[in-house]
Amino acid sequence: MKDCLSCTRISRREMMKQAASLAAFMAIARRSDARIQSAGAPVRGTARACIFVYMTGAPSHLDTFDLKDAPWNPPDANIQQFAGGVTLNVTLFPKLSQYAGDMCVLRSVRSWEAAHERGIFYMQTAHPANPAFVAETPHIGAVVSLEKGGGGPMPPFIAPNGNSMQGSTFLGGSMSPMMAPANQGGLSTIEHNYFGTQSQLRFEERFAMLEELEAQPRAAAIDGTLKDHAAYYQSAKRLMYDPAIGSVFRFSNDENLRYGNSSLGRSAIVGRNAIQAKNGTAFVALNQGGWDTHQQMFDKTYAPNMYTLCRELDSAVGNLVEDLRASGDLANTLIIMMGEFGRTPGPLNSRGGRDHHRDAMSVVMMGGGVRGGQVIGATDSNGASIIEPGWRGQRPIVMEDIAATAYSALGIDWTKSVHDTPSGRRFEYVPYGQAGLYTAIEEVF
Amino acid sequence: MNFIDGQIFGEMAAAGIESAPLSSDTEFLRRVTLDLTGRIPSPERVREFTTSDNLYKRTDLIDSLMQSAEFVDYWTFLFANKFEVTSRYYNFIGVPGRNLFYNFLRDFVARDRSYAEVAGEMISAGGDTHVNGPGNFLIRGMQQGDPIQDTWDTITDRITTRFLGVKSECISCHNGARHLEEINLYLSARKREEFWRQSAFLSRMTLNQIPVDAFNQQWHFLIVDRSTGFYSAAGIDVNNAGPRPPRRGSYTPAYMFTGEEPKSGNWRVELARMVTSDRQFARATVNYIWAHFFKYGIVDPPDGWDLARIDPQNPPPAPWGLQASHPALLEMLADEFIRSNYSIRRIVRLIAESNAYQLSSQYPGEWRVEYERYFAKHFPRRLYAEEIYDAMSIATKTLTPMFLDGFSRPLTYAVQLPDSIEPSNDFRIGSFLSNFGRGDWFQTQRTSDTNVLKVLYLMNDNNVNFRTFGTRGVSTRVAELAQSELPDSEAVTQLFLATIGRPPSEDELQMLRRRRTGDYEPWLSDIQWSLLNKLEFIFNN
Repeated sequence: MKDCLSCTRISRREMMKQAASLAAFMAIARRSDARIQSAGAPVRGTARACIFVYMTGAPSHLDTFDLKDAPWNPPDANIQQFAGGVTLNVTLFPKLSQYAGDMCVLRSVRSWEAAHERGIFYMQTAHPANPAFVAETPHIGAVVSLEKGGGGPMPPFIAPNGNSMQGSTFLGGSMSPMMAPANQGGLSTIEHNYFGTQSQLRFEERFAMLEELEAQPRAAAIDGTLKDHAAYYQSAKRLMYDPAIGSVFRFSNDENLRYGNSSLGRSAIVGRNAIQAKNGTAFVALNQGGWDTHQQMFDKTYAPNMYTLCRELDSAVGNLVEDLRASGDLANTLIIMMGEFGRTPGPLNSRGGRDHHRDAMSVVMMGGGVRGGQVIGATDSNGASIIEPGWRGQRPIVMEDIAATAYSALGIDWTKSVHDTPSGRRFEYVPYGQAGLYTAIEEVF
Repeated sequence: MNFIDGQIFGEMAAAGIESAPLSSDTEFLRRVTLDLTGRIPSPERVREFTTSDNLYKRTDLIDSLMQSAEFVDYWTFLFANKFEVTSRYYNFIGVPGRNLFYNFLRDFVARDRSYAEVAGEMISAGGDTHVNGPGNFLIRGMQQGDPIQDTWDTITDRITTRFLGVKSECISCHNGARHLEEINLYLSARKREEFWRQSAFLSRMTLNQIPVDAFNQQWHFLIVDRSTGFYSAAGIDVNNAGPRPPRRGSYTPAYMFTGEEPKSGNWRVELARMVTSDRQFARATVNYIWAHFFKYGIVDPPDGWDLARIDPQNPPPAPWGLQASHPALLEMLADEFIRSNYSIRRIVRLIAESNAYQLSSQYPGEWRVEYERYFAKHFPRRLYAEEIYDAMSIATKTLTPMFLDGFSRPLTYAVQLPDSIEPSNDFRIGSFLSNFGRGDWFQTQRTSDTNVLKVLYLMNDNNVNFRTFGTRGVSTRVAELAQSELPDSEAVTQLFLATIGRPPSEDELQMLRRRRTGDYEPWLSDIQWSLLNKLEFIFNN
């Protein structure tokens, strides 16, 4: 592979452009086995979609999912034990506690990073933020889209409240997150409402005119970027005037209030709608910021504090779980909740908060074939370090293992790697997955 | 015809590759107007240019575009993007710092100052960043809350990347060995110590933070160099060691690319001299300019140089090859750049006047990927967000004034904006620009990717659509035409000229006539809408 930037430079550049369309990418992938390698890992295939809740800022594991009987708990804490050792502070999580039986809590997780930006990158990609490869390290959601997308007109990867997140990089634009903000009124740009009752008819006429004008130039376009751009007109049109698509993005104010009247809540509603509609979406990224509680974390007059953060999460994800359960979709939808690292152990710091800590953190998985009502691993009484891995890996769980587990649930061979990156370096779905260094956590299922 | 053509067509001939034909007048006019001024030509200009029988009309056009105020706007925009000095970089720069920096660049472009001098001033800038513009380039690399060594290291990488085309960030954390063998032969042999010695040029620089207002919400800086000191790992708080792995030892400066040590105690002045007199400075700069016009660099990507693979007299060991597609041309351009006292305009003119740049983007024969590195046809580039916005406003005659802090007159074009946060008073324009990927010059990279939301936006958002109507009380080109007594074919021709810079073909005209079933205005409006959604509109072909 020493020739990576010279001899094969051109074909790779072309490859990048072609890869922007899934069909082209898969055709190439099939044509030459050398481009995709895999160790053929056994996979579960219990989920058809994944909802990933990014608790950015890094939540305190000690005050959310790894509670201790300790003096630092606030006086109003109502800590209850649920089946399988799951414990929750019901004051903070009134709704989620009703679904503790669906939760698998991983307490023996360790982060590679203790800086937000790098940690968030790791959480989104399961790869280090190596500056040389950042531009060719796709989001986990883009890999899921590549593998599971194409099931309908909806984009495979949506991130209603995403901003400046890692995209699909060399996997191309159709695998990139659709960051259409969640608004009650829906997505205004999927309709062309300028002509009253005649709007749709008039749009069809305009579109037909455009198509006729473009037929020849599109056919003649030999340049990949032009072709890609043209292809989006078809996918965009498919989203329009389809009631099933429009309703994914629309919701009532009652629902907004029930989900907590927050950006996270509204995005969770759109995520729920997309999952229930089963019209193409395979990965939903939900984002909740504010977990960087260095000070006054239990002070209700300080923003953000644990009360507002946990209740926002509780309303959004609690109701999401409730609704997906009721519609029968929870069983095949994997939900993951986590932040980029843990927070400092033991008593609160002198400012009433907790600082960055990477030696221990917690991850919650629900639905999608996950066996709920169980805890994997344990930390010491201060929550400082992992004393019991609790799984056959016999070592702390890291982001690579979380990703492998999610891929396995989704039926994706996580030992796969793709060779046609811009630099020519192999992109492994899970770093060192093929070598067996990291692996799916079978105990989760 | 100039030496660029000798090289480009010579290589093609040697390989037996046919080039695409020369671009048509309309193709060339729109292309060069966009590449030199960021804006599309007016219908009048298209008519005048295509009907002129002046043999030198392409050269004359380049002359007049390069003398225009639009050229200064656009090239300032390109350099402002390169250095990303945004007022929202934490609260370190602010609107005053940004305006000063922007005006510094604008003056450089307007007067065609020596780029070596300008780069040197940025590297060695001193004084108050709310008085002197160039210092804000340094502040843009300041790392909030991390040890000062991280600021030095980050600025070092920004200097090598932007001025020398070499991303040195990798070796700011680890040696090149066992990391970069497959990526970059030159950097794979560099050690972290060498980076620290490079970074040490900045280690006497102090950035003294001064509050702008009583609430300390905004800062400016007094940049002062001490006469003593060196790069040292000592004194870094282990609990706040920053994002890079621990450092060891103490270092005095040595220029990474030659080993040269400073001859005087003013290390940043010495660094500025070494960088700007480095031949790689000239090579990297002409290659960045080339990539603007050709979409790809002669070395591509233009910020990914491998210095061990540039000399044809000293080729790298197999299986590596030379990195540049046209090594000799690169040297000739670098020579010319140096000879012209680092004149950006000199290189811009050479490229714009070459036949190589003026090839058509349509390739008549069977296109093969191997032809790409020969530049055998022109590669279309998607317009930048700002260019799309301006083209749309110009085409539809819906220019909107934008009011900015510290600017005495309102601006009319997005390529005149000094910062990715502007216009802060008009959310609609800002959202259009964000939607098409302008980025924030900080955490979100600029992108020219397309996605489904962008296409939906272009088709359906009111920000675009209000410009296509002729009956809703908005002054638009369609409204003007709808009220005119022009025959159908003339009105359509005007819309085509104004929007995509060429008249409609006979077939297109017939098709559009056939589609006219009802009133004049809705028909014109539909045509305007279709043209804004054509590939030809959103790409520079």
